[in-house]
Amino acid sequence: MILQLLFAGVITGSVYALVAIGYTLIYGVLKFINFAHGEICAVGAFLAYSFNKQLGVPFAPAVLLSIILTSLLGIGADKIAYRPLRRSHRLILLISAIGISVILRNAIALVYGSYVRSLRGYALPRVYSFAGVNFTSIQIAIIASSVVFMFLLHLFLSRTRQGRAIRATSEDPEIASIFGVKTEGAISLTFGIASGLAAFGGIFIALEHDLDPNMGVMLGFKAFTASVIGGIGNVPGAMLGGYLLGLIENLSAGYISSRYKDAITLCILIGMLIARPHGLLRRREG
Amino acid sequence: MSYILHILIMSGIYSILSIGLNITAGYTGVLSLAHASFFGIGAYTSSILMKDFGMPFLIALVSGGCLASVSSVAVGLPTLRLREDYFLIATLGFCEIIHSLFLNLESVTNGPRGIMGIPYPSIAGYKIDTGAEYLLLTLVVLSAAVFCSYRISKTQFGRVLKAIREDETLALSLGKNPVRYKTYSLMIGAFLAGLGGSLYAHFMNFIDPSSFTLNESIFIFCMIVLGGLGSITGSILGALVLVSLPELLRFVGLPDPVAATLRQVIYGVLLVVFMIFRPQGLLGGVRLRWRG
Repeated sequence: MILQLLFAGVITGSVYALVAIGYTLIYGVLKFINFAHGEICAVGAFLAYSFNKQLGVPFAPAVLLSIILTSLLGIGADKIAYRPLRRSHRLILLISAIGISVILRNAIALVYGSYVRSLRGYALPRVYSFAGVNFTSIQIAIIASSVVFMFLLHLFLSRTRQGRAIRATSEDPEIASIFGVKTEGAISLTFGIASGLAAFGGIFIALEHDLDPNMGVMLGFKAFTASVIGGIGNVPGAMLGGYLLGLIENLSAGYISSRYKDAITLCILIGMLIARPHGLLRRREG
Repeated sequence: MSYILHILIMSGIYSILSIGLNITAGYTGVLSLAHASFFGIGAYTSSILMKDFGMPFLIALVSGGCLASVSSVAVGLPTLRLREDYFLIATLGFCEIIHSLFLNLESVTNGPRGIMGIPYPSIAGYKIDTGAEYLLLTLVVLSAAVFCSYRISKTQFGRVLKAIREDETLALSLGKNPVRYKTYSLMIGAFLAGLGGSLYAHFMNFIDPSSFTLNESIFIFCMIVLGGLGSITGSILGALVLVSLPELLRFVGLPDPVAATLRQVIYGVLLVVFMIFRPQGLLGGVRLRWRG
């Protein structure tokens, strides 16, 4: 029982981690919580559904197409709704982000209707068993590919020129631009990467559960909590927070009640924000 | 005629809600997405008190407001210490949780089936059951809300709220505890939302959890953004415009579910467009200035 719960925790945790990285990266460069990030995940999942189930594209290319389009959507949302507000009050940016999230959520409902849809197909996946834990090949793929993505992202941020541009912009956009970093380019790149990872997160959730236009609200909320656990702005922290939250959520669902899953997340979020707003990993600023 | 009365009554009820949110978000700068929850708490309290316990309407109405106000303290106590953007997300969480309480506390709220047959209000033996009378009742409550809101903006208390919105640190340095004042403004906003909820429940005679979701919070939020944060006339104008707008969509002949979703898309677009081109709203409310 406990092993099965832990395993389930790692799966949801991988998804939360991927989405939380997006929150953290965007917070890094813009110092703003992208309220629409959860909806971006949902768009990614629905696009993959469209390519795969409606247009008959094989699964892997369908996922790839969805990620590319979702990245472009993220960049576009930034250019349209956030860029004109770079120097505005934080509340104004936040309201604009609420607007984008409302638009995306309801645009999905408008296009796809509110039926429950499934990305898995109707055949039940084959279940393997090891050391008393049941798993499917999809679940192994989710865990493995999210680890690979995080590793690649780490290499990208630490080793490449563009990755360093993103990190410099997060540190201090003005000084970065003095040193010749094109900060607007770095911001767009950040939105692209964050939204691509979000699409992955959304697709993984869709593989495990079903598709529904409102799936982004709770996913976004959970992933945001994960990024707060790790310290928002901190990429390894977001990964840690994602796995931690996934584990806590599944253990509490197993031992307390699954009805209170969301309430527990909310308590964790508020507790973290009050007790350690800088996250578990980061030292106190200043 | 009854159709126009219906729209006017709904606009009135939503004006009460938006005036409440305007005190919280417009005066004090505390953006809350839990307003629909307070609206719902007021609606449920008032209908249960009057239907199951046979309380007089006025007591049910005020209890609805009070319970909403008390529950706003429960929401505000842990969260109002947070920075504004964290607060916003925490209230989003609360809105979802309270919505799921409405759904799951079946013994109290009757779950997803909702409460049916909520009686019309009656005051001192006089039953208010025609549209015109209900409009009058709504307008009386609305005028009280407008009066209080206007008075608040002119008192020292109101000025402290605005000072907190403009510069929290400065308000703190003048000896005003921002968390305490933010709690008060959240409570007043929630009280008005509770009154609105009660009026809504007795007018519709039916409530269910689907009326008190995050979408509803965003809907009310849209009203004050459209009218102008901090402006009372703006809040009323916003309610009037956004309640009548969907009726126009109905005349175009769209099927109801499509129209409902399209409405939401339009609200989203309005939020973005207003923030970019006219952040102070139609009637020129507060201009939020950039500070580092």
